[in-house]
Amino acid sequence: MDWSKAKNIIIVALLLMDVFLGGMYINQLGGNSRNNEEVREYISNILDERGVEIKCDMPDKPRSMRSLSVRYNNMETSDVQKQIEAAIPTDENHRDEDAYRKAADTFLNSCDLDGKDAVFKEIREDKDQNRVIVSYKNMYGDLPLEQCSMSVEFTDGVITGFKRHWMQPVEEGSTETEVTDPMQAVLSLTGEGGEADHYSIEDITLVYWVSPLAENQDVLYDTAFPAWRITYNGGKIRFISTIEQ
Amino acid sequence: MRKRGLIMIMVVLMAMVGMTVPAFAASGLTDDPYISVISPGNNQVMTSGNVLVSVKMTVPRTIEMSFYEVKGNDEDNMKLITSEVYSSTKNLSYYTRQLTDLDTGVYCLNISTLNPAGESIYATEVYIKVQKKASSSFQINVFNSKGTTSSFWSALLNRLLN
Amino acid sequence: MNTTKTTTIEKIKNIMIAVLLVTAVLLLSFFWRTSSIGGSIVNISRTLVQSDSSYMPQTMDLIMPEYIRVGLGSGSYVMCDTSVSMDRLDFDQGHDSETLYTELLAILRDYLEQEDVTTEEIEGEQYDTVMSYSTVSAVFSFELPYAEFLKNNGLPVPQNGASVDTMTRITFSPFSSENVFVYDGDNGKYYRITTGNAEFAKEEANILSALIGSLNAVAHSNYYTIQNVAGVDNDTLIPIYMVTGLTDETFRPAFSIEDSSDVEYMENLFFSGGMDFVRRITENRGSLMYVQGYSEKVLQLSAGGRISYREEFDQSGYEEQNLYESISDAVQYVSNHGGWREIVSGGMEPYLARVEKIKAETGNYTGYNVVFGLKMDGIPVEYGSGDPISVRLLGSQVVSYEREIVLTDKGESGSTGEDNLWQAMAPMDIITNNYEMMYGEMTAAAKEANINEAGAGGAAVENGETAVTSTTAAPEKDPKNQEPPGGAGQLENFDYVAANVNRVDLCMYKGDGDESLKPCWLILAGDCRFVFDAKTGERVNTETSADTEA
Repeated sequence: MDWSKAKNIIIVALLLMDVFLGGMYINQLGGNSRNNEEVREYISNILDERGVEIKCDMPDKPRSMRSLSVRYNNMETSDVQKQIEAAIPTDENHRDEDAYRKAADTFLNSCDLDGKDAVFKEIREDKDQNRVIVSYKNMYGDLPLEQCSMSVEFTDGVITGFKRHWMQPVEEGSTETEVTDPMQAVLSLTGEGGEADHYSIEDITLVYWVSPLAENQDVLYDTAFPAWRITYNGGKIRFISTIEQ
Repeated sequence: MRKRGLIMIMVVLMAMVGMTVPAFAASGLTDDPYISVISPGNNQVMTSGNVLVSVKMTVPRTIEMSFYEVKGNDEDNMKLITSEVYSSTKNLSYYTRQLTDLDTGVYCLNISTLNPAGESIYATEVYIKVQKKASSSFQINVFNSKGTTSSFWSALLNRLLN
Repeated sequence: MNTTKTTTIEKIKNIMIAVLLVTAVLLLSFFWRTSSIGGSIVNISRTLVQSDSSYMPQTMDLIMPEYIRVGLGSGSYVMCDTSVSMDRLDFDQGHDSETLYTELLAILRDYLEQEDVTTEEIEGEQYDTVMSYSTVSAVFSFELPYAEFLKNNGLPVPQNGASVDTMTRITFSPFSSENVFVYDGDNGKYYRITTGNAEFAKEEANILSALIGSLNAVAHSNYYTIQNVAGVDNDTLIPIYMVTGLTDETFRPAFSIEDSSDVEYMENLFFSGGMDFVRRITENRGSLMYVQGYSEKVLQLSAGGRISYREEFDQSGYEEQNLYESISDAVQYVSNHGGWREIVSGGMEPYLARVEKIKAETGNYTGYNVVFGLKMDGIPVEYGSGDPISVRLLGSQVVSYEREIVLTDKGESGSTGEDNLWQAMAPMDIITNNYEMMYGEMTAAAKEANINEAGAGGAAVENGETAVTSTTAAPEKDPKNQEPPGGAGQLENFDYVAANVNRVDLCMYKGDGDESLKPCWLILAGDCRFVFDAKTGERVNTETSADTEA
């Protein structure tokens, strides 16, 4: 057998196939891009007609994402209480934001809760009651994992409370699914039967989101899906799933 | 003559009444106030040879159930079919027993309350009649013209029109 | 030189082939990942391999009476299972029937094939008179459309006379042998189907008498009404004794959440489009929940082996169906979602336990809740909670499916339970021993039912008053019945309980958390369900609300 000729044929066949598949891939990307532009324009017109005000930039969306398995990870109340009692009060003379944040970080460290997924979010102060709350958010890579929260509460410089509703990412799903455009999420929020007459969109961010469960549900593992977190009308928040089903 | 005839008639009538007096009336025992014979009912007619004996007791009691076939008018012609003693220590209990394969005839159920010495202190009697029928010779006749709905209306219509 | 150049070219070709091959594979894998076709192909092939539609009972085989009731006259009855083999009976009239129920259908056919058959509505009193003599009745636990029932069983529909709407009971009487009696429980009406053929009627009288005699000969118990036994107004039948060969039977659940292949099988069954859009929740007690979309489809797999599936109703696809179509759809659905074969090979016999009409929460959409039960040696298997299989349909869409099957080794052992017979505790003794407890729970349940009704706009209940609306009031006190010493009100409480018993059945009971089925007495009274060990008379269940209707 003339292997040389056979190799020529194989090379030509593979080349043709790669060109065909590559062309389809590029066409799809380009098509998606063109489609996205057309869709945005169409939706933008509808939102204008509805009087929806968009005060933020529309983020770019990834073409596809996977789902994310998560594990609920809440601490035992007795363990938390022990750590609170053992926590050192902040220095009376240096009770600034940095000090509170450092104290909160130290507390988390003592509880073994300062992994790479816990990221500082904000400090809120209630001067009337001498209370300061240091909050953390959960991140999976670049994306927030909602709705997780962790907060260390100080009263007169002493840690008096700790709240935690947390999930740990376990693994991603096996299949990538297409993510809807953020404009579509805004359209869905402001659609018929919406709660408000007028919408002012302040922020829209891509997150991983686990919809809340019933209070009496005692859950170990759950699934987070990509969602658009929309902040509107003075701080109200809604999550709209990105998965087109 | 007429007088003699009247006396004869009265004697016959009294004899007939006497025949119906229960053979055990001479014992003088009364009904136990804490016992009820639920089944069978007195003078009940059974169409099959099965009889359910059900006795309700509302205090702890020992009872003796005796079941007789009544062949004649006096004690000698009461044939004992079955007898059973039953004790209950509860404040509410039921004695139930099914008697089967009885032939056509008259029967007497006697429920006696026994004292610790085994003597009857109360007694209740129930008479029943078993009148078995064979489907080859008897059919229920309840669907005559007076019985059914449609025949009632057709009869009414006939009356109105005629 | 040429050889060196040729060798170099060949090496370059090899490298190009390798690179192009890898590129092709990468591009193909990209399309496979993002395409739903790949996932669907895998799921469909799994489903095809694993679905068990190879054994599916015929709908008509499942639509059977709950039991055959034989009246012996004078208030005495025996109860027979529909599947009693005719080989067991000393009876043969040449119909070649396998079971008692098919024999009754054959007898019915003989009647309906007579030339001059007419149907006539009759009075309840006339019907009761017939019932006081010996009879044999096929008693259904649901109402069947009469004409459909006849057609589906290949029986002629009488054309003359009254039209029967639905049927709950069919009765034959040797003492009224020119008639077959039909009771329409839905409308409370009674009918007779009459033949004018006297010769035929005479023959049937003998046949029916012989059949009743042979059934009585193999019966393990006699039943009487509670009125006959206890003296309270209640025509519910209660056995006065029971001899049985039932024994405790260990079981295993057909579905196990511990078995990953079982779980994967269920995932593929209910989410054939793939699990990518499905939210998977694992609860701490071990159960799994799957949610697709905004609860458009929800699947729950419990640690105890129960499968619960709910689907949002799609009004756009709605088409009204009759009872038989719905039952047929339910049978098919079960066949495609778990199957029937494992039930039979696991020593159980499925049967249609009840069918209830249902309505959608909004709109004029109707359907049926089709509930299948399990029997073991002709004895129903009762669960502590839920039914073995229930399928709720609105139109032709299944909106809810529940399945919890238990398997025993009985099917393999082939034992019939007739070898070691023992006497169960009499149910009347159980009621007299436990009536105070039963009374307490029944009145509490009735009070709660009244409170709920009041909350929904019903009549208000005064403080301390027990307003019993769904149950029979306690009968008037018999003046002869003296109150026992120190037991004021006891008799009234017992009478109340006895008057409200609406079902007494021997069953094989599977309590929540149990590992074996136990022979038990199931007593439904008022709105409460009581289960007692048939040997010891001890109560075995703690929940009280009745799942089934009277």
